[in-house]
Amino acid sequence: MRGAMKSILTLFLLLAPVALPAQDPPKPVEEAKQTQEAKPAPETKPTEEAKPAADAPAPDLERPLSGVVDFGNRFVTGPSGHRNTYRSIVNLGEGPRVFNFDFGLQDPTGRLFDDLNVFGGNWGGDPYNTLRVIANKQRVYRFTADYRNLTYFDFLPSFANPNRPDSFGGAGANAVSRLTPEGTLLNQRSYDTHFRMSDIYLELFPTRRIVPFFSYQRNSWFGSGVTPFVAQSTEYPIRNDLQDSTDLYRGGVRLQFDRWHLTLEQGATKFRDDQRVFSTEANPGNRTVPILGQTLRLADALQSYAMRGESIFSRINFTASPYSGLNVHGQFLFSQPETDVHYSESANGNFILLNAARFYNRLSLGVNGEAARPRTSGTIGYEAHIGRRFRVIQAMVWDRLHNASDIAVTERLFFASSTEQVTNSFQADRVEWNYYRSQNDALFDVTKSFTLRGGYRYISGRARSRPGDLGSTGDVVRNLEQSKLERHVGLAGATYRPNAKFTLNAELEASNGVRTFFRTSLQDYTRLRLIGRYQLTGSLLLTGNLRFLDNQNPAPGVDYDFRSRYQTFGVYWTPKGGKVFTLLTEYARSTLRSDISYIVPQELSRARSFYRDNAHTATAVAELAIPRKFSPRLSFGGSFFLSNGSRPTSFYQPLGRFLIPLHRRLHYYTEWRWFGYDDQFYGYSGFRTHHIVTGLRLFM
Amino acid sequence: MDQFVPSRNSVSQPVSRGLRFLAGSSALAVLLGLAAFAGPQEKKDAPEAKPSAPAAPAELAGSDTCQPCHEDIFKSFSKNPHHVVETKGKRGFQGKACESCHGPGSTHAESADAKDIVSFKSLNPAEADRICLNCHRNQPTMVGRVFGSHARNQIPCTSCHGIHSDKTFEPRGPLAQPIPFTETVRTRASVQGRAPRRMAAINNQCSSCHTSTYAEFQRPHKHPLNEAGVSCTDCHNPHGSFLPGDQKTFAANEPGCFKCHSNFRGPFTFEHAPVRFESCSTCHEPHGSANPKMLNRHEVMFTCLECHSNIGAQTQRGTVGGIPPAFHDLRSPRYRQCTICHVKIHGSHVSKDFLR
Repeated sequence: MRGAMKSILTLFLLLAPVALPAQDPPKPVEEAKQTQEAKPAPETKPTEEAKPAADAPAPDLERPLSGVVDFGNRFVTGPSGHRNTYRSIVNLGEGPRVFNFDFGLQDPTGRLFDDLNVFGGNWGGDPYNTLRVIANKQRVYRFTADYRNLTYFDFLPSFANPNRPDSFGGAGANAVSRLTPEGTLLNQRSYDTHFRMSDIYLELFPTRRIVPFFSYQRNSWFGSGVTPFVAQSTEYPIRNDLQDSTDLYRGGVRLQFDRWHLTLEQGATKFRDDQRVFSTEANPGNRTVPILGQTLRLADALQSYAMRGESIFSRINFTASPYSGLNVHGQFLFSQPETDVHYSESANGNFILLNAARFYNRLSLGVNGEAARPRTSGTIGYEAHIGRRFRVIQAMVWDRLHNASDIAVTERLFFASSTEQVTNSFQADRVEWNYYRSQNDALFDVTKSFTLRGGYRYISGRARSRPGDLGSTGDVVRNLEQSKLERHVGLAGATYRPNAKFTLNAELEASNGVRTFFRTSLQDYTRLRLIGRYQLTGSLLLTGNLRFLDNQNPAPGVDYDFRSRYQTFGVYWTPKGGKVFTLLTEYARSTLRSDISYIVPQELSRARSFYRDNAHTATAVAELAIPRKFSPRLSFGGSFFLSNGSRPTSFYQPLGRFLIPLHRRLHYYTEWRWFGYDDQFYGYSGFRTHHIVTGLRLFM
Repeated sequence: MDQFVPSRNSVSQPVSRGLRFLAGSSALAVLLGLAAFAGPQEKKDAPEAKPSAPAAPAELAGSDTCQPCHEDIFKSFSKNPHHVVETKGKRGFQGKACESCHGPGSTHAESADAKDIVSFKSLNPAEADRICLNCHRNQPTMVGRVFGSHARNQIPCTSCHGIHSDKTFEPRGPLAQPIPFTETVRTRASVQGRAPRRMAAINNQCSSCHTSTYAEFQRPHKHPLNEAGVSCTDCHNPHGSFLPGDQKTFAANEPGCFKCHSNFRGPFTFEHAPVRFESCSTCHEPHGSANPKMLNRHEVMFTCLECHSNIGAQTQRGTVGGIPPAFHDLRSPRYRQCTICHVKIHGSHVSKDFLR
């Protein structure tokens, strides 16, 4: 039945261009042109100004309902190569789809709303369904609802243990790997899941000064996957059913006055995680050779998570302008999430207790406990205009959290000799983190078009972590790790805008960090960012972008040497206002070099970790409009990524598209795309596929 | 559960920080005082915000005077929220909304010369922002402004916001979104609506300047930005945030990553330090990577071992990350992907080694 529907729809879409050109020719839309030409925003890219709204009618705001909907059918060949990698990276399927919709409804009477807007896309089987509703009634309310259903499929064979015979879904794949209804083979650390997110926000305007607001969010992650069950250094990949959700409620009031504003917000969250990891069939694990004459195996297993969490949080925001040139901003933020831990585990099979060289065939584990992590943050800052040319911005952040947790663990091992070993333990963790940051910037307008900025940032922090067993005195007796953070950063910047055609923005940071939390954190670093834009002619816009980071940590045993550079260059050419030809193209060149010492665990010797990434990225689209009666448009281009270095990879997405306006309110389009992915070191994970989309765009 | 006891250090540090703040504030007060003596105080309320208003004795001419020449703007502006300035007297510009931003226009009306009116094209960004902030500074979106990179880098409000537009959203049409179902190839963004709200439009808008970030999203492992599953503003607050990178917050002061990835929010019995002390970007490239799971290294073991290579608890130069407790033989491929066994690497409720 579904196939028949697809065929009918496909036939309709293919015949549409033949049947419909006899209708009204497209008409130029004066309103759209006027709006484009009249747009005075100074930062607008001039290329757009010249661009007409083409054949599409601008939304007619005099009509109560206006909008556009794109729908059609996608055909997919293959994919040839590794299907699961394709699903992990692209995951677009075949069949009829609503690609995009965007409606606006206006109610002149304003009974329920002044305007209602609904937009979204990717419905009908695509992995990223979105829907957003915005309703507004002036001086009464503003309502926003956002819904997303995002598929997260992740099965990358290069991420599995290649020693397992079923690792790549090969001939050795056993039943535990075949988990999805489609029979898709999954492997370790794999997911076939959905993120579903809802967000509702309502603002009320009983007066201009007082604005109450309410919000509800629900985020959930659910689906299945494969995760290893770990028993004494042996892994058994088994099914993982994921199901967690977070509900967030918040409400508050904003007090908005001419010279100050205050927002008071209170909220709460509820969290539940009912993840289950289970297997009911024999699993040989990753040890294929017997140990002490016995073969390890898992007969069945169940890990059951029943985590419950809740939190409260508060927010106080204020801004004030006591003088015309002084703006003061501040925040007080507090949150205190807590988790109740309930976990049980049981497994049957043949396992080994390595430190005693004894075999046991049943394991049970029960864990109960709790964790709490209050976090308090505060910020304060001001922006002061001193005279017409000089400004000062000073801002400070205090952030502090600590996590205190305790769990009681009961472990039972049932040995082959019918003896039982019961171990009770109490474990805990104490994490403390203090962070402070202040930044002072002075900005000076040297001329009307040239601004210089200089400043200083100071960051300090302290972190401690003590995971381990609880001693008889109630103290954690293991693994105290602590670190301090101290960083002095010099800041500089410049903005040069001699005219509307040229803009150059530069930003520089340099630091000789004193201490840092992690070996790979920023230490002695220089960061540079340049963004430039030049409107060479009325139809030719050039852009350039440079990002550079050099980070060194010369401490003995670390010897971290990191350097990355990202350069992009763009050309946007729209001769004659883009009526006939448009070229939008960007090229990016990135290089990354990272060298750092590390310790090889098995022999405690030092070695160097080298990571290199030298990539070329290009995106381009050229659009050719045929100046004929129906103004068909031909586009081609695509996205191309090629990387050499530690993980040579290529990902190409060329495309071509053809669009015919059949009627002022109906366009036909068809698009071809090709996806090609190659991972040189994991050649088996590459894929290639063609997509052909054909559909209609309907304007209302 | 033992109680958190503030360390001596953590008590004394705020004192010195307070002194720094006091010193900074005193310096500012002196500068403000000097500025006050240096020139006359500007008059309060809207007219003060026309720093580039022509010096000629122009007068307010009224929006009706602007209409004949700027009919199209006048028409679209009538459906813009700013039109309330025209219709309501509370802002003091009833019937003169155009001049609330562009300054007195009588001279310009006579000469038709762009030099005789406040033109945003000729203002520097700070001056342009100051005009906008006259009305908008005391609003919640401005709370993070002093931390925001846009404010520091002179990116004016009008770069992203359309002031006159009658469109709630950007135009709908092939040029607005040339590929209706993907953003792999995007248009050049421009300010078409009041502010972009569709995910595709938001992403276009941001990437028109942040081209290198956009290039990162062309890598195979990334968040679904090109597919319009997420937008830049899902993670970043363009108006500024106290978290680095203008990162959005979740539940008041937690990193915005936990809005979607709430299963990593915790609190966990055993926390993994980087998740709390730095950010997800310690291990991940959230904009895109050639490595699976958006990791910043090609093999998982290097992501882990580059930090976990300090001998003993008291570490090299005080960094966190001791040597791994197990002496796994990394020559065996099964040990090279650490997270195959350490499955709860973002934090575990049960196992201090993150095994379950």
